[in-house]
Amino acid sequence: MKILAIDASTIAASAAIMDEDKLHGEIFTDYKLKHSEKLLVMVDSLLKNLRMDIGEIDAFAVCNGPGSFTGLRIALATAKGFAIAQKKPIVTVSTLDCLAHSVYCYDQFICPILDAQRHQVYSALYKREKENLIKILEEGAYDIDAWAQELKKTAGSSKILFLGDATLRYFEHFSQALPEEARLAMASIRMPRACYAASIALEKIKTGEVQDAFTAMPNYIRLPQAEENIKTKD
Amino acid sequence: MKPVRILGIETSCDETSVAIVENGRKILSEKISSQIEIHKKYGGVVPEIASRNHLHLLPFVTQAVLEDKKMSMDDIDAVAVTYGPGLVGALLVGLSYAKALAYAANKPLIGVHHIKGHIAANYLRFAELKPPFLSLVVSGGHTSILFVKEYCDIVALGKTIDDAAGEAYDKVARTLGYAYPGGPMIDKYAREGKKNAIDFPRIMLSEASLDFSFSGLKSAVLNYINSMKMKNEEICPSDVSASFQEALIDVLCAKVDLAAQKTGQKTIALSGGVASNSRLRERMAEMAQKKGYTLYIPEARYCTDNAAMIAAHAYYEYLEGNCSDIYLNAVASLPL
Repeated sequence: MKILAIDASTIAASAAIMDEDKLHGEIFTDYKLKHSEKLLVMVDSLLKNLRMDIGEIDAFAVCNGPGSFTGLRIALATAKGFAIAQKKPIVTVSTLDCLAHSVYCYDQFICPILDAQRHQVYSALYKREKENLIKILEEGAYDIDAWAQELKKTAGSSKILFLGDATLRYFEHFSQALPEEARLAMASIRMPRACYAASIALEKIKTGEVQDAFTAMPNYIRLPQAEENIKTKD
Repeated sequence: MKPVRILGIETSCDETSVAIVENGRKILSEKISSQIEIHKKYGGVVPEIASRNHLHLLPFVTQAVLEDKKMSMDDIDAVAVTYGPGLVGALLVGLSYAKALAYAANKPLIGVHHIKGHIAANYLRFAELKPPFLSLVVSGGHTSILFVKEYCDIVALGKTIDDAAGEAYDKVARTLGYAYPGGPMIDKYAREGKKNAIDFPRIMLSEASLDFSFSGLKSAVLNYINSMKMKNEEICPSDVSASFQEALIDVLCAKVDLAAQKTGQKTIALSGGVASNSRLRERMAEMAQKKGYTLYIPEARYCTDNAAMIAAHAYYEYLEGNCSDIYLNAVASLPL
């Protein structure tokens, strides 16, 4: 089962091809690039490097957020275009799951944080139990002060490993609020990587958590601003 | 010769549209999913909401268009997509989707300028229309006079330096309390009003200029409404509509006439949302008859945004071998 996974949830973008046996290849860039211009170029270059045709891909995996609304749409629209042309399924993977999944053989807490602007992060809290990644606190958009409090309450004396694009802006904040607990993940896994999305997708396919071009959608978490404004008025 | 079938995709504003067009002229299948109802309660198009809906709708609209003719991507020769100008978030959805679709179906990709698409809407309805001709594209986002020398050689002779005509319509309509979209409402109420009730300015800029300016007219109408309110005098919305509309159309007609004289072109093709306005059609037809111009205006559904027009223009780019590469990006203010 060959999976082509793509991610454009943050300023970084990546594409990876993987099956049950191995990671065939991955392209990752963390550069202020235009995802709409480059994501397909990355996929094309990956396929060419592997002497593969897109027809050999059995399913398309895509990080569906939370993250940059525009980035998520570019990735989802790309996956949908592939899926329609190739008549293949899509597997959506939470960007937070994708980040947490990169941490292995670590028995403390894992906390991916993505910049949600407005003094907030998109986040969730995870822990590995044996091989399984368990979600301890649910995904949401959290005020960074309130989230630090919540983490402190939950973590007890355990360490919390932070990763995600918001570590750049907010790791200082969390390490001040949680001086004993907060740890920063190494740079190579700090941003979402498509290979981990592919790896999660392979698991999801086994349990039948598969979608298609019609049903796969971003998990924005937030409503559009205009809709929120109307709700507040009511 | 085997017919060329192009699948067009348009998501530059609030219409999600996909169409299959044969040889740039014949619509085999098309769907336009309008989001007007969704945006109505906000009084205008909300870009984020439009983008979310495009992403949801595109696969459904594509499948419906293909199934309608029992076709698959194998029957398609190229994929065309609007890459600007327009709302950047909305454009990006259609562009990313079209790029991936073309790539995975192994078909050429053709990026199409939205205004060139509007011009090509006329090819779908009028088989005899061929360049050279003059084109007025007038909508909520654009007001341009273009000289179509050849299918792919199009020169802008003039364009708005501030508001588009349709934008002025929408703002006046909103001030008059008409529901979104306001243009058709003004068209409707203007029929009951007096065209010369209020003397609004006809802004021509310099005598020889083919550019437009509608912000002055818009402000004059808004000032009139405000000053009447201040004086506690009642305004007659249909008179305001008729007088505003006549002033705006006077300018459009005068500039098209001037362009015809300057270029010596006698064939004129209109398109864009405002080209469905009944008074504009009437006035252009009168002018054409008086001056001996041949006038083309497609019916309303081809005036507004649609993917068939994108596929129609793309055919001529295809014939010239003008295909886009996989670096194609959306450009909100794409020059002609």
